[in-house]
Amino acid sequence: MKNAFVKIRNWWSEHGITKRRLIQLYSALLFNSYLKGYITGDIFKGATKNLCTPGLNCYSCPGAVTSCPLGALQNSFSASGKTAPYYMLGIIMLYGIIFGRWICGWLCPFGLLQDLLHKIKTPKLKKNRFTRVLSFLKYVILVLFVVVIPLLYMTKDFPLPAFCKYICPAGTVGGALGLLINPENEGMFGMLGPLFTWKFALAVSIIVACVFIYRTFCRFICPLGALYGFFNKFSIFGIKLEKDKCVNCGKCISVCKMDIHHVGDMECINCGECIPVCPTKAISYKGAKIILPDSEIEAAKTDEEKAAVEKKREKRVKLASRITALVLSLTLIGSLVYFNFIYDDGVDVPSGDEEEDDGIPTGSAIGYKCPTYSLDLVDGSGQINIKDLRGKIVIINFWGTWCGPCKQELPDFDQVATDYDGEVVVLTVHTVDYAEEAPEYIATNFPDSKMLFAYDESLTDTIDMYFTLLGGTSSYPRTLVLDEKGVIVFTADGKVEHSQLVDVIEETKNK
Amino acid sequence: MANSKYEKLIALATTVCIILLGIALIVCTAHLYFTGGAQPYSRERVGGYLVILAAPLIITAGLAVAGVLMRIMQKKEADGLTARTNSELLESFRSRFDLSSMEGFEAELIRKERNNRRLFDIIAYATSALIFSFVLVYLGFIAEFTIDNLNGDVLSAFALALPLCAIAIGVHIPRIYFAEKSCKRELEAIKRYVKENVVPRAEKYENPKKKPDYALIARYVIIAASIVFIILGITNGGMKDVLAKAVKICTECIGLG
Repeated sequence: MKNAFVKIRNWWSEHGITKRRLIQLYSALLFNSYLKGYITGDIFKGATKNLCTPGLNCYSCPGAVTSCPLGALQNSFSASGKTAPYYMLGIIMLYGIIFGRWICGWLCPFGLLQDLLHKIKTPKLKKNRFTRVLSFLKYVILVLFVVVIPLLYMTKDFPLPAFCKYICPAGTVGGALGLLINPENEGMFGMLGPLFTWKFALAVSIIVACVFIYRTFCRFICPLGALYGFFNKFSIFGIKLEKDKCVNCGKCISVCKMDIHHVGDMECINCGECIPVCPTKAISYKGAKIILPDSEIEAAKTDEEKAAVEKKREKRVKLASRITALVLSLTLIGSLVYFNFIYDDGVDVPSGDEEEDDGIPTGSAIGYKCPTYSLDLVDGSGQINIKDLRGKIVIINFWGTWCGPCKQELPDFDQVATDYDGEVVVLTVHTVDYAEEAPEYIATNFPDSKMLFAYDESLTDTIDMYFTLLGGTSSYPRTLVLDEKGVIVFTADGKVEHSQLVDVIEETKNK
Repeated sequence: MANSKYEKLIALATTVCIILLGIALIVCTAHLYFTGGAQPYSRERVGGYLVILAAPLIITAGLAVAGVLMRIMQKKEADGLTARTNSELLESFRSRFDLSSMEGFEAELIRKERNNRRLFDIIAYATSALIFSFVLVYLGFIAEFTIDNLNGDVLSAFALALPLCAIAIGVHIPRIYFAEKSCKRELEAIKRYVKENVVPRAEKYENPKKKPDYALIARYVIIAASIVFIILGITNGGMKDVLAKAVKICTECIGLG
């Protein structure tokens, strides 16, 4: 029995999962603890999304319980005309100075995916001079797509997270595919178009490349890694090289699969694979002083004292590891239990006004009578209720000034309101978030519009009332078309084209 | 590393399958989009294409899993060392010897190679800086960015900007190529010199403990600044903005419009 146990332990030490892989899997699961999201087909809306994951993890992924730092940074730049982006800059700086690119090597879920893809047994393309040059591409992407474009469009009062929109594969793989596979999100298929085609092709290319080229995305594309790389030299966690022990044999650079010039530079992801190959033990993890201060190590002169110090160090490392493992395990179990079983978004699905007795059931799907509710008008002239608009075709559009696609489609709704004046009423309902920006935006862009502008009401801090009542979940914009009797004939999540609206109106008129 | 006949076969088969599957996925997506009319994607259409791709997907997944299992069953070993570049070898060799008093033909050759490398570096970096500056000016002041034609404007701006950025990065390829050749010539010169002359070993690196630890100072400053920024961000509503965006699906971020 004891022999069998020893054999298993030896086999595990030679073939089993490494500590780094375990930490990567742990962090991927911790930051995506909301497993219920994959069942319900919706994203998490709790307060933990005030915080950011250190690595790349799209917040539109059904499981994500925190925000993506890169997406949040771009949104902050997009809104920097009104709110200075202190929060996100502070978060990035704090993560950078504590962890540096240790995040890339140990905590990033997308980094884990790339590592696993690279394990597939195929010939591999090793790093060379060309890949060293190509590694500068991510700095170009950082400047152009994360900083310049969001700021340029900020001057036009249009939020555009350019890297997320045009490049990021984590959003396509984690967010889009994670939502589309759920039958509840069948309506989202109508939103797929040229952008999805481009992003899916790009994501497939990157994933295939990752099988043959180590961490293709991290090395050549990821702007978050580029940002953290600036902090690598000063970070608290990471790899350090003791120059007085280094003999410049270069084995660390040869064994490293990243495009480093030396250990701990901006390209180093602090994975630690260079540590065992160093012949003079010049490479180690930073933070060793926490376990045992330098003064105690230097005080040991004789072999016996050195052995005693080493034994003391090992004992402390073992104790610290056990305590850390216990705390982390409890944190993960607690997260999984809380987010999936205890957390309640506190939403009581509202019912709207009292139902009319005309035999048509009330609901938010096509064929149902649209629930009615009184909403405050943006111009302060009173309230509006869908009931008051019976006899005309009504288009209800949920939008927000913070939403790029919403702003893009509003001119089309304005055109429809003008062209079909008298037959069609367009009611736009602004989210509770950033409601204070709506009057100025409307006055500037739609001064003489035929559209009606109203505010939604707050159900919870993060959920709007009428939007939820009319079947909205988490994506804006949302459009519904009602016939003259108030029955829903069309619903759409996402941007709606002018031609689509015209087709629906004509079909409804001719019914 | 594949070392048996079966492992090589699996590696080859997996490679071919992954590449073909990747191409098939991209071609199918493009076909779906270009033949789909106004609403190219629907669950039924996508399902139809997935049925066609099911067999290749399963075969590829099976091969990938088989390869990974084979790798797990083998002893953990390093993936093999990449060859060191000439510049790395040169730096390593130079660090071992004190070449400060080097003279003669080799010394002259080394000086010439260094000056040439320096010149190439200046030309390459100056060219890159010039091109990047032009790109930033173009994007900031010249390029058209509207909202009505959002994707078109962004694409046309980057149709110019990205090739220029590629050139700005690409100028470093000949620089690195030349630098490698130059480092090789310099290394050979040093080796010849060391072989023919008595050259003292380089002094061991000694940690200058008396100098202030700038890294530690920078660390404290950045930590303090980040905490101040976070507090400012919480008070000015920046944290609330992060939550407001994160609880809504960013449809354009995930390619859904």
